[in-house]
Amino acid sequence: MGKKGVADPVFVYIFALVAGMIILFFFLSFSMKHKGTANLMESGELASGMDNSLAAFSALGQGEKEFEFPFETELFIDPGSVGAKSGAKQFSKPTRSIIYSPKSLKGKKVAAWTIRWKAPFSITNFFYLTTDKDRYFIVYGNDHSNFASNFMKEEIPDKIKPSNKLFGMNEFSALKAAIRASPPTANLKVIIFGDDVKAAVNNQLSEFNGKYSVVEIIPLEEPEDNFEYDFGYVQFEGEAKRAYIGRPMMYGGMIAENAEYYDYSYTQAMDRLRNVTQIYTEKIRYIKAVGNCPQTGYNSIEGLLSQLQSDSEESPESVVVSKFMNNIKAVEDMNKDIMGAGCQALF
Amino acid sequence: MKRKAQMQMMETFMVLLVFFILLAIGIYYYFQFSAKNIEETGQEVAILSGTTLLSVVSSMPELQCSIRAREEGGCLDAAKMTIAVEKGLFSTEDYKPLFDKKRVYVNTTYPKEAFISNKCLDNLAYKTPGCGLWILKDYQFKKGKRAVSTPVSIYYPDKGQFMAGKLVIEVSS
Repeated sequence: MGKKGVADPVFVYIFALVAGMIILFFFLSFSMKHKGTANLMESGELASGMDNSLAAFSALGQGEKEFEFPFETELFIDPGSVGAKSGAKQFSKPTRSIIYSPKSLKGKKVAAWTIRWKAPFSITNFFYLTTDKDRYFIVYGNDHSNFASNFMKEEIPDKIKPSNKLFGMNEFSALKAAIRASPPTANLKVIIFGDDVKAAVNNQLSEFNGKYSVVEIIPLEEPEDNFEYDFGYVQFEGEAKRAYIGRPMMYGGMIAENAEYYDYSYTQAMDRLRNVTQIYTEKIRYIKAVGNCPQTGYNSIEGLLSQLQSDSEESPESVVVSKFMNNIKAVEDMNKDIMGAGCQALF
Repeated sequence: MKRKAQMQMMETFMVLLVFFILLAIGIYYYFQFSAKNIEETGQEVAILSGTTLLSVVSSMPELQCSIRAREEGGCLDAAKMTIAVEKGLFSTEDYKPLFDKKRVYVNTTYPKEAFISNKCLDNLAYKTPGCGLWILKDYQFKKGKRAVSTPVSIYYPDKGQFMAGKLVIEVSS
């Protein structure tokens, strides 16, 4: 090897090794970056697609549908955004849709349900999303048996129904069996109707502590032991009571991830209520001058709308639900009176 | 021998140089093609979201007309639209996810003669912001734009009259 100017084969091997490694590294990093970009695009398309689909879905006013994906997908529903994960990449998109769902939706299918929230006029649509990994066990006290059975039969749509199971006060063994039969990764929630149920649930389900979360629905109590299910309070574990205004918001309380997520949706809903109320308040000046209609009806409804506005500014923890309810009902009645007098209705 | 070794080295470098040049050209065209694909996907998404928005806007409680407490599909309330424009409602932060980088307007298409200069509706309220034209959300497009539209009926609650109109959504192309 003492010849000057002759490339040492060892040097050639090292050179080839280094050059080969550089080229290999280049291709590997290129393909990794390409994969990352493809994943990001895929999650972006999923999140945008989901948001667009929900927006289009709201045009129906009311409906249910199932989103099917060709592969196991993970969607993230956070306050004000819809996100999706593909590979290691996650993409979130701001959304205007008011969505009640668990924080993470994992699976090939997502069941969706939408209904319009009215107070008393239409304000916005609420969306409810679940997967087959979410299980809701509704446990009701004796005072709520009629409501509970009607609720399951008539109100919960078929695509959402499989996630929900109904249990009376004397059906705890069936409830325990249902919890045991749930997959270990399932998101379990026990929804309570009735004061007497809460203690019983704590006693009977102590063996499953930490495996499920509890939310209590407390409808307003009316005279003669009747309940006003459209208005009331929802109480998450270890949290103060929050108001729900209207049945769609009660469903929201049942499905929402936790109190923080519920509060965000409540605030969003109240912002929309204020926007729409403001429009109706202004609309009065367009219609009150028509014909010979008495001005008193329009003046009264204007005052009531202003009260609705102030109710909507309260937080879900501090708002007086009965007052809010009475104002909503009064606006509805006043609109009917105006129509009854042959005048132009406000809504 | 020294010369031979130099030649060998030069050959190797030349091969590598040609290889990297070809690779760079390949990558350049690949990225150009990918960028074009992404741009096209973006345009498709924009058109799709515009089309979706058509059905969303025509059923928004902020604009939808209701007659005797019954909501009418595909019908917009002239009074509500005027108020929304006056208040700049759809330019607020709350509506940004829906209307960002979009221009949304409604114009009356029939009867035309009702909306020419002084023949605008006698109710002065509808003269602002314009006769038979409501720009619900304005946007200045830096490049080109594409429009999607749908026919709507426009209800004048003070008159109890319907007119024909068009809801137009413009997105960047």
